[in-house]
Parts: sequence; structure tokens; C-alpha cells
Amino acid sequence: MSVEPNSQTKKVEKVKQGPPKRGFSGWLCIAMAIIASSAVDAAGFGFVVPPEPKSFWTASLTFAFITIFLSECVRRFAPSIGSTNNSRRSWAIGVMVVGFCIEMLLRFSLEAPYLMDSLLLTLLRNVMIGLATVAHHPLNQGPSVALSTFVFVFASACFDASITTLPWCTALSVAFAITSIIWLGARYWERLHITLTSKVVQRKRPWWTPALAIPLVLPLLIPAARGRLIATEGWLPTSGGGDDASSMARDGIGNGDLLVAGLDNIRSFAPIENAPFAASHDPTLYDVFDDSYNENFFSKNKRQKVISLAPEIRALAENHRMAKSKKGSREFSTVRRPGKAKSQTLSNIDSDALIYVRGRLPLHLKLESFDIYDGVEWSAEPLPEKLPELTLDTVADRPWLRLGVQTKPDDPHAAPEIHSIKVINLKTNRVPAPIQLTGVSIDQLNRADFFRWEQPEVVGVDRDSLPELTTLHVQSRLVDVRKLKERDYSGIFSPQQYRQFDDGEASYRIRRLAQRWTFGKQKGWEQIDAIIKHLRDEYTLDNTARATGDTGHTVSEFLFETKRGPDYLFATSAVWLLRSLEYPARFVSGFYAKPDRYEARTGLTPILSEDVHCWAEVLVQKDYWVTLEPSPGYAVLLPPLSLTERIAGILNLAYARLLRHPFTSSVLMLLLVIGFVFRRRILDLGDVSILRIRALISRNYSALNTMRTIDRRCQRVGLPRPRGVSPRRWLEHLADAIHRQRQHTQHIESSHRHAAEPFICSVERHLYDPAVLYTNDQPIRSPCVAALNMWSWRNLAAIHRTSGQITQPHHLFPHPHHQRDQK
Amino acid sequence: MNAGTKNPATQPPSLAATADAANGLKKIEQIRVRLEDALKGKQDVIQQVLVCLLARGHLLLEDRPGLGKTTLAKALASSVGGRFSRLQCTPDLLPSDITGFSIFNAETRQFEFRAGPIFSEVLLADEINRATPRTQSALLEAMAERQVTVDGKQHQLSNDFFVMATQNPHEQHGTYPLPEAQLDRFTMKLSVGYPAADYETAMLAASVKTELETKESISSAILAAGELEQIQDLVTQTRVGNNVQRYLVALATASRNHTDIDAGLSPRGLLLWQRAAQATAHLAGRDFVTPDDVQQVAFPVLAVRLDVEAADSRNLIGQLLESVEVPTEPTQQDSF
Repeated sequence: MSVEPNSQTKKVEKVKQGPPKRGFSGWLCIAMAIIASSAVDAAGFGFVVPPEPKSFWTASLTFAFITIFLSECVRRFAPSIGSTNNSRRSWAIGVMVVGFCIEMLLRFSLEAPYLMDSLLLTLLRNVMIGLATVAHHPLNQGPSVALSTFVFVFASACFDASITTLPWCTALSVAFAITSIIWLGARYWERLHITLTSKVVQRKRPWWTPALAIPLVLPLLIPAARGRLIATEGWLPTSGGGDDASSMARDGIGNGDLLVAGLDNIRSFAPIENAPFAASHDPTLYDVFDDSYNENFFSKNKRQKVISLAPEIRALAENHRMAKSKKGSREFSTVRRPGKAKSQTLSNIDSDALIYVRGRLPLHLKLESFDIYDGVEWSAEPLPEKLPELTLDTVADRPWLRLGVQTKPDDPHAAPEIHSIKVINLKTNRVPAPIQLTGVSIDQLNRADFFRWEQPEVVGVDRDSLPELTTLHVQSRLVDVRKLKERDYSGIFSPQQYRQFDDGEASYRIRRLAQRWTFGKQKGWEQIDAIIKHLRDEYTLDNTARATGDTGHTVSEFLFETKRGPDYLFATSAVWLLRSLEYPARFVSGFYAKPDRYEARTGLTPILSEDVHCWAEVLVQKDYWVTLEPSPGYAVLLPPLSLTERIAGILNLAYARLLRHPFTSSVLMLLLVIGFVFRRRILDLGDVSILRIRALISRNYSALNTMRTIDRRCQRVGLPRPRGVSPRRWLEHLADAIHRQRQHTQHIESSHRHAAEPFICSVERHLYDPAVLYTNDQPIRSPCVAALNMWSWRNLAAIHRTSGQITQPHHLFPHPHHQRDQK
Repeated sequence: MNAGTKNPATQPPSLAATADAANGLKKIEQIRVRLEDALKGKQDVIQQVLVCLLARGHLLLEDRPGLGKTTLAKALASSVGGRFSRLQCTPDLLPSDITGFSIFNAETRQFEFRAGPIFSEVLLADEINRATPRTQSALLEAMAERQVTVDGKQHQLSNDFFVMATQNPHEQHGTYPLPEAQLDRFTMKLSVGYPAADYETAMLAASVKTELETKESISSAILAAGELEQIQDLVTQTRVGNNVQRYLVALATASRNHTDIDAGLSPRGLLLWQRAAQATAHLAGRDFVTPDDVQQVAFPVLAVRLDVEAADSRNLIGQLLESVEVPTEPTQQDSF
């Protein structure tokens, strides 16, 4: 870049005599900074949250005064500040740091809250004010306005938080927009004036300027990195997420214990402290089961039975049923109307999810269990007389309802885990919970009598339904099936209801089938596993298929005739097959949280109305029920894996991938091996390419960079330059070695050392001559290329092979004695 | 590379004396040829002698008798073209024998100063460690400040004043080892060593020539009066980058921190080292100093200063040079 020698004297912005004038655009810059600063206060980033008119005006006027005062001081007494890039940078950083220190002191003394994002905004605001105060130099107006715009846009995005206390704060937007438009106009005319009256020095941009565009490209990549965004949780402005809590947060994603209510956004995983338990006037229990599987109808046999009853008795029975159904314990019919289920959408909530779940998946959330089966209908399990007492204790400031589960050291359980459930639209008072529930927590609900037993192991709240947007935390502990496999299954005491079985023709066939499936299998978990496996493998899940109930026994119809059906037939069959072998089992209905529905952005899994599901449970020890999943396509949650199991899983997965794509993976492996073996060579090639590209860009080779490339190459070959040896001496030493080697193979007379001289001289001049800072670069393309060729990888590797060892650095130091000995 | 602003005021002083430098180097080469004639096969020693001469330093030659120390000194003296004095040091040598003394002139009835052998361009102090410490210290002021004080009166020495002292390393009896203060005033310590067999043969062959030829070739001076000073001034203008200076300081610090070295390099030693490196660069025809120049003179410069046995010094200095990393970052503008 050749610049005229006296171009500096012709620089446009030269400080004249007296303080520099601040043009109209300079004043507009200051105005924009003041408006943006007010917007920061109005948005609630100030000392008082939410902002009040009094605090807003105090802060805004203070900042306006400080900005104008400071800028006048700078203009009058230190006009050189901000006239160059360096002084502008130093000034802005100085204002930022000083302002930040004052702000921190004030916040600390006023006990005002401070959060990551608001502090960042404060820093930016300080820089903005710093730039605005030197806006009398037109050079600084661009950055100042850009920063003001950013700060304003950022702050105005949060205006809705203070719309109640400062309803007119949107007027700031109008003011800012008008000011900025006027600034653009003013700036245009001023620039035009400058351009017409002065000579502008053309500056050459450095070669890395395009790299500045990378941050602009990054947002484009965000959609591709959906899952990764979770990592920014808690860092993003105004998230209020993570494990910390702040009164400054206005929206919440995360599991902080003091999150604000996400009333307007269904995805915000809000705790319930702000969600009031207002009396609900919603319609009664909304039966999602009927919605999904269609309503039940009575088969001919059954109807006949009912009709044969006397009307008064029937009325009594109906009454009885009504009373029961209010409590939620009703029959579950395995005979339903055929056809596709109609779906209902709710109008008042813009989400089709019934509940949201956070925690490990897949998850079976139990709502109701059934014990007696009459061949068509399941009867809900009655509430036994003796049930554990519900107690309440507090863990980490959170009330936990304890279900009186006793833990014993030899329990076959995995460690307890917690799932969080947010109720959106579930018309039941029951707590949807995983199996082996041990505790339930609803924030600030610290009365045990608010809960009651609904069924064994099923608790509910003492009201019609769970309020909308309630968040429940449920603690459960899974039975570790792997531990069960090691245990002997000896006769278990259990209530008779779970062993109910009939002696009919159908049941006999079913028992035969179960015996056939479990033939040769050890009693216990092995047999249970075999039955489930047969059901999953040999039968087809078809949610539209319906049992007719004509035979009077839907299980035998499913097992022997249709061989396809919805999940409740699978579950019923599983229970009946298990009972035929005298395993206590029951039928369970509830929800299934599908892993496919997991939303990585929020970390939540929605459960829709079509996620209702039926499955089976088997009793393995006195109180330990285990979830069984006979329906194909559904999975049971396994206990959390240990580290070794996880590693083994990853290895298995990799192995499976390997087997699936043998060609791709072998090529990949080959490439990896080659890459590893020739890693140094590849690095060197990259190094040289970078050197050549830089030479292309700057149209000249850099002797220093070439020297460093050769230095690194020496290191990679195994001939590192000893630290005490200068590049010249080492390169000459290597050149001599190359020369000697060449002489062995072919007769070359010219000394390599001589050929290397121009390059080494250039390197030395660039390294050690202080005057090189003032001299223009001469094109040194050919010496650098010659150097790269002389100390090439091949030559160096040849030296390394023959010499094996590098020469002792001792011999490379000039010493009279040494030279004498040589001679 | 550097796209910084260019200000004519900060441009380096262009070597206005390039022609002078070339001329001076030519003369130095002539001296080198003459010295090599006198002392065959000792190019490295002669190089260091020339460096020492250009660095305006003093030289200490330590070796056995008969290796050509005096021959070298005489050849140098004849080339430089000044007065040459030879001082054979013995235990009974008095300081006034070196500096000179005042004598009462009966005619003028005043004391007159009779200059001693020190008032010369090249002073050869043979077997300097046989002189008593008192006599040795008479040289101190002369070597450091190029002046002597006799009877309270200062006498300026020649600007080209150059001391070559010899000492016998193995002679234990009747010697007084040079004090550290004295040693530190020498820029370098060299040993000449035995010549190689070829050179010894050549030397024998040369001695058969007529004495006349030999005398003629040695007699005429190469440098005119003041020329040496001019060249020495040019040497001081050789540029030293701040990275090389930092390298020098790092070497000095390493010498001070070395466990086997009692007293490390003094700041004066550092200054002399830099000057010697400048002279080396100048002799190589370069106008800036590289770490190689520093290393080139490291052995003779450090050997005179580090208070260790001669055999150890070579290893020690090698260790020092190995341990300190050569700067490979470009020199920068001085911040002060």
C-alpha cells in the first residue's frame, strides 16, 4: 500500500484551533443515545423493577444530564479524545468500566437486582454514552448510532413487561425512529459537504475483513442447531431459566425454583406458585379414553343380561355406577364402537397437549388400574380399607407428599428419579404418575389433606380436577428388571383379586397357550418375559381393529382369531395369560409419553389426547408392581444406565452402525488410519497451503511466515531447531546436510548454503533489523519458494532417516576451539 | 508486512557513510590478510582479535609461550599504524614504569612528564599476571577511561589505545592472578592454540625466506591516522533490535542464575558484549545485529568474565546458549 508521503497532513479531520464544532447530526446522536438509555430504564433494566414513572424520570434525566455534560466537557477541554480509532476505543472502554463500577456500587448499595443480561446491557449502554459524548467527531457517529439502535431495539423488546406501570413507553419508539431518520438525513448532507470540500484518503482494508461477516452468518445456522440451543439456556437475555432465579426474569424456560408463571405461553414450564388454585367451573371429567377408542357399547350377551334385570334394580345399579364414576373408578370395556375416533379440539387453550412432561422417556403415566375382568369389561380396582397414611415433609423448601413407601436395603429398585408434569387440560383430579410413586410435590401446597388416595398407588387432589397449568413433581423409583432376573421367584402373597381367573372353555385354551409359550422357561421373570415377547412379536397392533365381544371373551377372540387389535386388547391378554400361570397381574390405563414428541428446545414432551394407553402390571414381590408393555411399538422406561453401561451402549451402537454400512465405515476407518499415520505430513500440507493463500492475498510471500512454516516442518519431521540455535545456523546446518546427502547420490557442485543465502538474509532482516519497520517490502517470492523446496519434507525426512539423531546443539555454537579441532 | 504509517522523521539514519564503511571494511580485510600471514591457520582467533579491535575493547590472550601471541600483537600494531609498546611484566615492575613519571628538569627548573609505554596505540603487556597487583591496577584507569593520572595530573591516552595482554595459564609460581575488576575491563579472552600440521609446515617453509622480504611486508601501516576511530564509530551505529537486546539480557540473567557460576555477567560486560556483537555484524557487512553475532562472541566475551576454570567455561557457556531461546519474533518499535 503506497500512500503519498504527505497524505497524513491532508487528513480530513484535523483538529483545528479552538474546540471542534458539533454539527446537527452530533446533537442527534446524543439525543438517540439518551432515548435509548431511557428505553433501557423503561424496559425494566434499571434499579427499580418493574419501573415506576418516578424512578424512570429520575434515571432518564440523570443519564441525559451526564451525557450532555460529559460531551460538552470533552468537546471543550479534551477535543483530541475520539479523533482517532485508538483514542475512541480507549475512551469508550474507560467510560464503560467507570460507569459499570458506579452502577455496580449503586446496585449493591440499593440492593437492586442484577442479572447477566441486564449487566451486559448496562455495559453496552455505557459504551453507547461514551461514543455519543465524542459524537462531535463525525467518525464516531456511525458506531454511536449503531449501538444506540441495538440497545434501543433490545430494550424495546422488553417493553411489555412494564406496559402496566409505564403505559406510554412505546412512545419512546416513535421518538427514536423520528430522531434516527432525521440523523440519517443530516448525516447525508454533512458527508456530502465533506466529500465535496476535501480529499478523502482511501484506506486499504486488511485481508481478514471478510471474517467479520462470520457473526452475521451465525444466526443463519441456528435452525440447524436446534438442540444445541439448549446449551445457551440461562444465558440468553431475559430467560430467567437455569437453576438460578431472579426477580428480573420475565419469562421462563428451565427448572429454576422461582420461575415466573408462564400463563401466556404454554411452553414456559412454570411452577405453580403464581398459578392460583381458583375455583374451576370447567365441565366434568373429560373422557379422553372414549375420545380415542370410541365409546363402548354393550354386546348382545351383556345387553341381554342388563335387560333381564328389574327396572328398579337397574336404576339402583345405575345410581351406584354414577356415584362410582364420579370418583373416577369405572369399568373399562374391551368392546368399543368400530371406526376412526373423532378428535375434539379445545377452543380456549391454544395447545392440543393435555400435559407436558419433563424427565426421562418413555414414560407410562398411570391414571387408573383395573383388577376384575369378566371377559369383556374390566372393573376398576376398589380402594382398600387399609392404605398408608399420606404425610408431608419439606425438602429444599419444597413440600413433598410422601406415600408411605418403605424402602428396604435389598429392594430391587434403581435410584429414585423425579419427573415434572405440567397439567394443561386434564379433566381429572388424579395425579398422572409413573409406577412405584414415592412422592408428589406441588409448590406451596403444604397440606397433606389436600391429597387423597384414589386407588392403590394412585393419589388425587381433593377437588374435581387438577387446575390448568399446575405443575406437579412426581418422584418414583423403578424396579430394576435386571436385578429381578437374578432373583428366585417364589410364591408371592397377594390379594386374590389380582389372581382372578375363570374356568371357562376360553380360559382353558388361554392357559394352554400360556403354558406352550413358557415351556422350558424358569418360573419367574423368564416366563413373564416370554409371554410379553410372544405377544409383541406375533400380534399386530391396530388401533382401528375392534373386538366384537360376540364370543363373550375378548381375549380368546383376540388371541386365537383376529390376532390384531388395539393396545387394551394386548394389555388384557397379557394380564389374562399371566393370571393363567398364577402370576398376580392387573390392567392399567393412563398416558404414554412418546420419545418422538420430545421437544429439544424446551426439554419437554407434550402428551396429546391420542397418547392414552393401556398396559399391564405384574406383581413381582409383595408390593412391587412392574410395568409390562405387551403392545408392540411401545417401550418401558429402563433404569438409568451406569457409566460403563452407557459406554458399552455407545460402542454397541457404533458396532451396529459399522455392520450396517460396511463400505462407508471401512473407507472412513481407512481414511482415519491414513490421516493418523500421515498426520504430520497433512498438517504440513495445510501449513504450506495457508502460506500460499496468504501470499496470494497479499501478493507477496512473507519471509517470516515461510521461516516459521519450515520451522514447524522441521519439528514435525523430527528435526526440531534447538532453542538456543538461531534459524540461520539451523537452516544452514540442514542445508549442509542436504548437500552432503545429494553428493552421495548425485554429483551436485553448487553449495546449498549459498542458494539459501537470500532467503536467510531476508529472514534475518525481518527478524532482527529494527529498520525493517520503515522499509517497504521487496517481493521475495522466488527465495521463499526456493526455501520451501530446499527444506522440503522429502529432504528433511531423508536427513532424519540417515542421521537419526539431531546434531547436538553444542556443535552448532561457534567456538574457537571447536573450529580449531575441525581444522 | 507492516502497514503502519510512514513518517519521514522516524526513518532510520540512512548509512550516509556506506562508502566509508566499504572502504573501512576493505582496510580491515587487508589487516586480516596481514595477520593471517603472521599467524597462519588461526582465522578464528584473528576474527575475534579484529572484533575486539573494532569494538574498542582490550584483549587478553591466554596460552603457552611460543604460540605467536607477540607475533600477532606486533603484526596488529604495525597494521593499525600507531605506536607500539611492549611491556614485559615482572614482579619488580612499578606502576610508574608503565604510566610514566615526572622528572625535575634542571634547566627549566620544572617537573617534566616523561610518558611511559602506555602512551601508545597498541600496548602489549606480556605475562601480565607476573606483575604485582599494584602494577596491574595501574592499568585499570588506562583501560577503562583511556587516561592516566600521574602526580594528580590527568594525561589523555590515544583514542585508538588497545591493550593486548598475555598470560601463561599453567604457571603457578610467582604469578598474581588478575583481579576481577581488571578482568572485567578486558572485552575478550582468547587462546591461540597450536596450529594445524599443514600450517606449521607452511610456517616452516615461510621462515626460510629472506628476512628482508618479511620485514618489508610487515612494516607499512594499513590504516592512516584516525581511520581506526572512524571505523569504530561506524561500528557503534550498527543497529540492535530490541529482541536481540532482550536476548542478551536473558543470557546475562541466565549466567547470573546459573548454579555453577559464582558471579554472573556484569552490566559492563553486557555493554561490551553488545559492542562486540555489533563489531561482528559490521565485519560481516551487515548493519544490524543478529543472535548469531551475539553467539559468535559469546565464548571469548564470557570466558574472561565467568570465574570458572577454562575447561569448564566452554561447557558452561554452551549450556547458557542452549538454555536461552533465540528470539524468533520480529523486533518491535521501542515503546520508550
